[in-house]
Parts: sequence; C-alpha cells; structure tokens
Amino acid sequence: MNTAISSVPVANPATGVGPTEDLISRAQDALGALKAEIEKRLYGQSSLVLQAIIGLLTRGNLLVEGQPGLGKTLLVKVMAEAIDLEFSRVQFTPDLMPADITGSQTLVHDEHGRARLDFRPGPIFANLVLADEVNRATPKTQSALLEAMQEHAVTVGGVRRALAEPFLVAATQNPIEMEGTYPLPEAQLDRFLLKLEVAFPSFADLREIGMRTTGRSEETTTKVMDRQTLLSLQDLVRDIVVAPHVAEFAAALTMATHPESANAPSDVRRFVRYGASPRAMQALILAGRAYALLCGRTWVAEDDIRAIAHPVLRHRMIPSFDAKLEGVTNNRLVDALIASVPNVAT
Amino acid sequence: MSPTSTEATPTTAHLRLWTSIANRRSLGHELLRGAALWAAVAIVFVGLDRLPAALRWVDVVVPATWDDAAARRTVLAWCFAVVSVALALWTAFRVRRRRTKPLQLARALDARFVTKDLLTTAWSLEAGAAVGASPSLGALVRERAQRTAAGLGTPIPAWVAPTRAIAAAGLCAAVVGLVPSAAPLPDLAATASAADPANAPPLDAAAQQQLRKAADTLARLERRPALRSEMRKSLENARRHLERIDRDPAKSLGELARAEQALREAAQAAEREGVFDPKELAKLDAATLAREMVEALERGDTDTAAAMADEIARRTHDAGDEELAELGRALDRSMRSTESGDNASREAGGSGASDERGETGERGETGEPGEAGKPGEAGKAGEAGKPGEAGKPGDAGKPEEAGKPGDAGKPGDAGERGDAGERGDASGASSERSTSGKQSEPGQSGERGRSGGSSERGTSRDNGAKSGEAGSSDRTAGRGEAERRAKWRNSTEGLAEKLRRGESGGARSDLEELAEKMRRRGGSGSFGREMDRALDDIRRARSRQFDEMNREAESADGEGSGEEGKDKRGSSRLRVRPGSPGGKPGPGGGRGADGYDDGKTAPEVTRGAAEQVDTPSAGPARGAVRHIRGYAEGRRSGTEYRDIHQDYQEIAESAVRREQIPLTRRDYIRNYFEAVRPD
Repeated sequence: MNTAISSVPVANPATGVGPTEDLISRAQDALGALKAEIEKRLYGQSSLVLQAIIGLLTRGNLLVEGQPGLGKTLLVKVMAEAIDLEFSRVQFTPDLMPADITGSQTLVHDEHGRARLDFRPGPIFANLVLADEVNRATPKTQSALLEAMQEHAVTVGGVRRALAEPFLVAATQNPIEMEGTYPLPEAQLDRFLLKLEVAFPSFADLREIGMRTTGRSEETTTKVMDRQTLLSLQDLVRDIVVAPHVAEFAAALTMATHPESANAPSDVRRFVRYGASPRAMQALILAGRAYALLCGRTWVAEDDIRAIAHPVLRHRMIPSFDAKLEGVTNNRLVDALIASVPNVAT
Repeated sequence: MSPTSTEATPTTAHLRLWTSIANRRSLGHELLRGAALWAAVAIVFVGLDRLPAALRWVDVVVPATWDDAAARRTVLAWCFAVVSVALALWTAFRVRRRRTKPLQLARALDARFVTKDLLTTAWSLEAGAAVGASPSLGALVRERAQRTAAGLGTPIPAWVAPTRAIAAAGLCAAVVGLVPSAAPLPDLAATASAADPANAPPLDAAAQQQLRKAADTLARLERRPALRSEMRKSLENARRHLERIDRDPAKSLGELARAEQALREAAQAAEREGVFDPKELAKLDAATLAREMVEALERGDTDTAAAMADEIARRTHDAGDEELAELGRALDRSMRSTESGDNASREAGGSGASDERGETGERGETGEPGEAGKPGEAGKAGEAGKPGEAGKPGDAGKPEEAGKPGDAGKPGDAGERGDAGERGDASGASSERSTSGKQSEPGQSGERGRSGGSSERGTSRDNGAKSGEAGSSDRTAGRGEAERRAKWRNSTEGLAEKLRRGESGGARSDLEELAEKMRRRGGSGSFGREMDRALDDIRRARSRQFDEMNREAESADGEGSGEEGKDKRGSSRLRVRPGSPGGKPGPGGGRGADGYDDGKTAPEVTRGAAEQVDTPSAGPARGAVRHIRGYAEGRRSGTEYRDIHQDYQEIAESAVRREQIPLTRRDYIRNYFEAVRPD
C-alpha cells in the first residue's frame, strides 16, 4: 500500500494528467493504515491521532498538552516509527542551552594534529523532534526552536543549515505542574499549527491499556508509510481545492476571534484579549485541506474548517483576566465562535 | 439539451436551470398569494361597504357620514387603492427576497443532500472563482459534481399553492357573503294586517286621484319591455293594491301599506339586480329595440334608453352589414315616428286640460322647454300656492313645540300639534320627498299644494312659498334637459347613420357612451324616478289618512268630555297607531302617555271619552278607547283590551324595530307598554 502511494506522482508532468480518484482513494487508504497503526499503540485517542496526522500532512508543528502518563511522548514516537522517520527527543529542563538543541561547533584534531572546528548537529536534526516538557526550558532555549519550526533550518556559527524533510516538532507540556516553568510566549505558540489536548481515556480504554501493555510481549509498531509517500501526500494536501466561500468562512472565523470585531460573539468580546493572527487563518485552511483528504475528498468544505477549528484556534486566542477568573476555557470560546459565524452568504 | 439528462453537462448549467425553475415557481406562488390577499382585501372592503346595511338589521345606528353611500365608497375606494399599492409593493419585495441565485441554490442543495459543498465548489471552479486551485484536482471535483448533479434529477421543491392566502380570501368571501347587502325593508305587513279589521277613514278626492295616477304610472311601468319578472310582479302587486282601494275604501289603510311594501321591494330589487332582464332584452327584435330606445329618450326614461342602447351595442358585436343597416333603419323609423308623435302631442297639450293631457304636459315640461311655459301648467303651479298657505299651521307643528302645550293640559292642541310634529318629522326626514320636490314640475307642485293640511304641508308650503323661483328654476332645468335630449337625439341620428354604413365599431362605442351618459345623468322620466313618484303618492295618501284619523279621534274626544286633558290617553293612542307604520310615533304620542301615567285625571277622562267612541261610525279608534276605558275602570276580564294591547304593542315594537326611533326613546315606549300590560 505504502509502496503504491510513493510510486505514483501527484501529477504527471509529461502527460499533464493529474491525480485520479484512484490515487485519492489510495491516499486515503494509506492514511487510514497509518492512523490504525498508531492507534494500535495509543488506545482511545482517535481524535488525537487524527490531529497529529493532520500536523504531519501540513508540515506543521504540534503542541501536545496533557497530564503526565497520557501518552504524549508515545504518540510522537509511534508516529515516527510508523513512517520510518528519524526521531529525536529532547527533554527540556531549566538548564538546557540552545546549543544543546541545535548543535554546536567543537574543536577537533585531525590525524595530522591540526585543529579545526567541526559542527556536531543537535537533536533538532531529525525528521520528528519531540520537545518534551517544552515549558520547562528558559525562553532563550525555547526560542532556539523558532527558526527550526518556522524555516526548517538552523543557523549555527553563522552557517545556515537546512533540516531534512519531512520535519516536524512536537512539543509537549504539562498543564498542571506550572511551578518553575516558563510559559511559551505568544509568538512561539502561534508557530504551532495545532495544539493537541490529550484527554483522559475512558474506562474501556483504560482497561484495554491495562490488558495490552502489561504483558510480556508488547505491541510493536510496523512501518506503514515511507518518507517519500509522506512528502507526496504533503504535496497533495496543498492541491486540495479550496473554494472562495470556504476561504471566506475561515477569514470570518479568524476575524471573529478579535474582541473588537463587529462579528465577534459576546463571549469573545468579554473573555479574549487578543485574537488570532492571519497565520491562524492559513492554518485553518491548510488543516482543512488535510482533513478533507483524510475524509477522501479533493475539496474543502466549511464543515472541514469547523472540524479542525479547535486545535487551530485554541492556543491562538489570548484569554483576558476575566476568562481566567471565571474559568472560561479557550475551547468554549471556539465553540462560541463556530456557533456565531454563519455560513458565508454568497 | 436538457442538463438533467446528460452527465457531461456542467454543474453551472444544472444550477442555472434549477434556479430558473425555482424562481418561476416562487414567482407564481408569490403572485397567486398576492392576488389571493388582494381578493381578500377587496372582499373585506365590500363587506365594509355593506356594513351600514348590516348594522341596520341589528338596529344599530349608523353615523350619517358612513351612511352616505357615495362618500363611503369614495373613502373605501381610496383606502382600497392604498392597500392595493401596499400589497403590490409587499409582493414585489417578497418576490425579490425569495429570488435565488445559482450559487445560493448550490449551497442549499449541498446542505440538503449532504454533499459537503461539492456543488458550491464546482460552481466556483466552473465560474473561475476558485483562483489557484489545482487543475487536476479541480477537474476531479467538477466531474464528481456533474455526476452528482445528474443524479439529483430536478431537486427543486414542487410548486406549492399559497393555501393560507387562498383560504383567507375564501373565509373573507364566506363571511362577507353572509353580510346582507341591503338594509331591511320596513315590514309593513304587520301594519297592514292590523289595519285590515278597522274601517279606514275615507280618502278625499284629491288623494284618490293621486292614487289613481300612481296606479296608472305603475301600469305604464309594467308595460315596459323586458322587465325582470320579479320587478313586473312587484309593480303589479302594488298597482292591484291601489286599485282595490277604489273597490273597498274601508280597507285603504292596509292596502296602502301593502302597496308601499311592494314598491319598496321593487325599488330594492332594481337597485340589486337592475330593472331589465338581459334574456328578455335579447328576445326583442331590432325594430322594437330601436323604438323603445327612441321613445324612452323622448320621455326622459334614461334607464330604459340605456338598457336598449346597451342591447343594441351588444348586437353590433356580431352583426353583419345587413343587420347593422336594419338597426340603423329601425332607429330612423323610430325617430321619425316619435317626431310626428311629439308634434301631435304638442297640439293635444295646447288644446285641453284632460288628465291625459296633464301627463303629456308633464312630459312636455321636462322635455320641451316651450311646453313648460304653457298656461295650463302654470295654472297648476299657481294652485299649488294656496295649500302652501294652508300649510302654515304645519310650521307650528315642530315636534318639541307641539309637546309642550300638550303638557300644559290642552288635550286637543296637544294632539294636533303632536300630529303635526309627526308630519314635520315625516316631511323633514324624508329625503326622497325633498328630492322629488326639487325635481318636481309645476303640475306636481300643484298636486302637493292641494294636499294641504296633510302631512305634506311643510313640503307644500315650501313649494308654494318658492313657487316663483321654483317655476323659473324648473323652466331652466327643463331647458337643460331638453338640450340634453336634443344632444341625445343628435347622437342617435349619428349612430343610426353609422349603423346604416356598417360601422359597427363606431356605432357600438357611441351607443355605449350614450348609455353611460344616460345612466349617469338620469332623466325626469326614468324608471326609478317614476317609481319614486308613485311611492311618494302612496306615502302621502297614507299620511293624509292618519291625519284624518287623528282629527276624528280628537274631535270625538273633545266633544265628549269638554274637560282638559281627559282625552290625552285616547288621542295619544290614536297617534301611536298611524305613526307606527309610516313614520315615527312622534313626541305627541309620548307626551300623552306621560299624562296618563300621572294618573291624576285619567279615570274621568276615559269615562268622558267612552260615550263618544261607542259611535259606530267613529272607526277603530273609538272601539279602542272604549275598551281601554273599560279596562281602566276595572273590567279586567275583557279580552278586547288584551287584544288591543297586543296589537298596539306589536305595532309600536315594529316601529321601534324598523323605524328611526331615537335610541333614548325606545325604552321609554317599551316601558309604557309594559306599564299598561293587562294582568
């Protein structure tokens, strides 16, 4: 299956024949297999897995938030194994330095005894980087990720070094242990395409986890997709058709996140300090494209935008003090947004 | 090529076709809805127009401004126009609001068939709105949308009739249909029945002559061609009742009431359905039609002339050249014969003073200015002045003035003035009389003058007092009417010429125009006016008879007692009776009752009156007085009093119900009858 996907180009430049419906259905099959493979190790987190795959397909970065022990690290690790990506993990601590992430130049001697500076790449040089407990590092170190996340490149010693594609940063953070942490600044939060929230599993899922993970033999992950296929799918996602009305809807949704906007719902006006940036609208459309492909469609519908609005917008709206006082979550604000922005009248 | 039958048809073509269908259906729905609502509004306005008539059925007093049909209809027409314009604008607004566009329809269909924006996206792609879309994936989307669209058939909801609006119109029609279109006719049957057993006072010669003339008029009207059968029957009934008076004068009171009833029914039927029966008109031959039209024009009978002109115009629709020529010749013949008849009639009018000539003279007055000035007619007008003078006492007969002396205790005066009050009401309240007075020729004025001392004194006096002015104004009016007739005659000649030449279109429009003018102007000899005059004559005769009865009763009571106030009771009773059928009971009756209710002198009064009313020739009133006196003296077992009470109470109740008794007086009358109810 994965072989078939990787061997068929998205469009044949010689004949001009574009992707067929057959290709779309095979892409859907491949993505379905990837999802199933991840869910084999991560029980009861179907929605989380789907959103993680959307992040993969859109070349975006993921911020995974959840209590300890819910499988945040496992999710990223299994995803790397299933696609045969190079995986690296950085445990963020207060004493972690930027060079510990990006790598550094070290003085080495060759066989002739001559000294030279050699670059030793850091853990960022991988396809899938897990920045575990990213909020525990200092802002200086956190900012070391910015260039890599945005431009898929790092500059060390004045030399700019490109990162291998596909590249994805998956950062995790614990929402309850806030002592001694450095919350991510808004600029950095905005660079995460999606913020995934890992929900506590249900009783049935917990039982299943207990049954499957405590025996002698543990489930192993099979590679179901290669890098090339992933890159092809990433290209295919960019080709998914977005009609003007969908773009208008995404724009209207983004505009409504701003409390000063005329179309902002009352909850947003009261509980939001700053709304989402234009990057949020891009993220909405891009994630919508990936979601449409996952659904086997070659066009985006407004419902796709609605479906991915929560992970796209929830970390991009800065809540006001009132919201914190009244315990209003960003998820509730996104719900209010979706309810208040009607279908675009054309 | 039908987009729904071919898969390769672009989605835009499907959407445009569906949009067109949807908009047509929406337009049809809205237009029908608007029409239904407009009809409902129209029906409501018809109902409002009928409202005054309906309110009269339940004895509700209608404000005078609303009672005036012309003013009411003008107001309603303006309101209706405003509502119609508003309705049209509202319908246009709704049509515009419901008008859909292909992209809107695509979105609606996507939502309805859960196609996840497929049709909308395909529309954007085909319309070139999806900038930067991948051509290959765009082609996939379009292809899939086309297949989907082809599979949808015609996904436009079937046309739905605006049932609620139609139901509203139907409901309005049903409700308004129940609202009577005409006011209730005064029910004179009870009056007539009550009067039958009694001997009516004899009619004087003038009244008899008046009634004979009215009967002749009705006989003439009956002979008009193509009348509706109900109309002819009503006229015949009225005439027969009048003729019976000659045979049995004692029954004149009831017969007059019946004749009046029949004529009122005829007038109402004429207003409702028209005078002429189209089927009967269609049976008339061309010569008859032409003759009737020309003759009607000559005698000023605009109703008949208009009906005949309409019928001729109708026939010119399908008539061939020969038939048109025949119509033209018939008109020519008729006009020639009428001219010669006029000449003969003029000669006859100038030579003598017979009744027939009087009628001819009347026509001449209204038609030919020259005839209006003939000495014989002028003489009639002069006679009118005398009764006018005689009518002066009638001036004193204002109802309120009459009542006051009655209270003071002069029974005779009270009675007379009470009666006079009644007469004053009758003449003052009857717009028909005043109208006919204005329109009247000198001959008629003279007749009214001769009826001095009757209920028409006021009117006659007016006529007499203004005889000079009236004479000149009548002559002016007669001249104007003669000029109109001359114009009509010219028009008739012109259209006869057109018919002979076969110009059916021009002749038809001339005829229709002529008919419309005649209908609008009316003529002194029109059917409606002739009926009105006959009705006036009958009313007048009834009034005279009531006057006579009152006078007899008063004089009899006065002779018998010689005591003040003793005949209050009797005279008041007598006045109630005649007042009830023709007009209002009047304050005279009311005051008399007051005197009785005081109870101070009542026993003596009734005793005194009894000796007089027992006289056999005294008529029904004396019998009534005797029985009433007997009851007052304690002879409570007498069934006569009970019968009398019942009769009079019914008559009074009928008057209260049917006539314009002031609301404040109705309970007063009812209470009175309740007070004198037998044990």
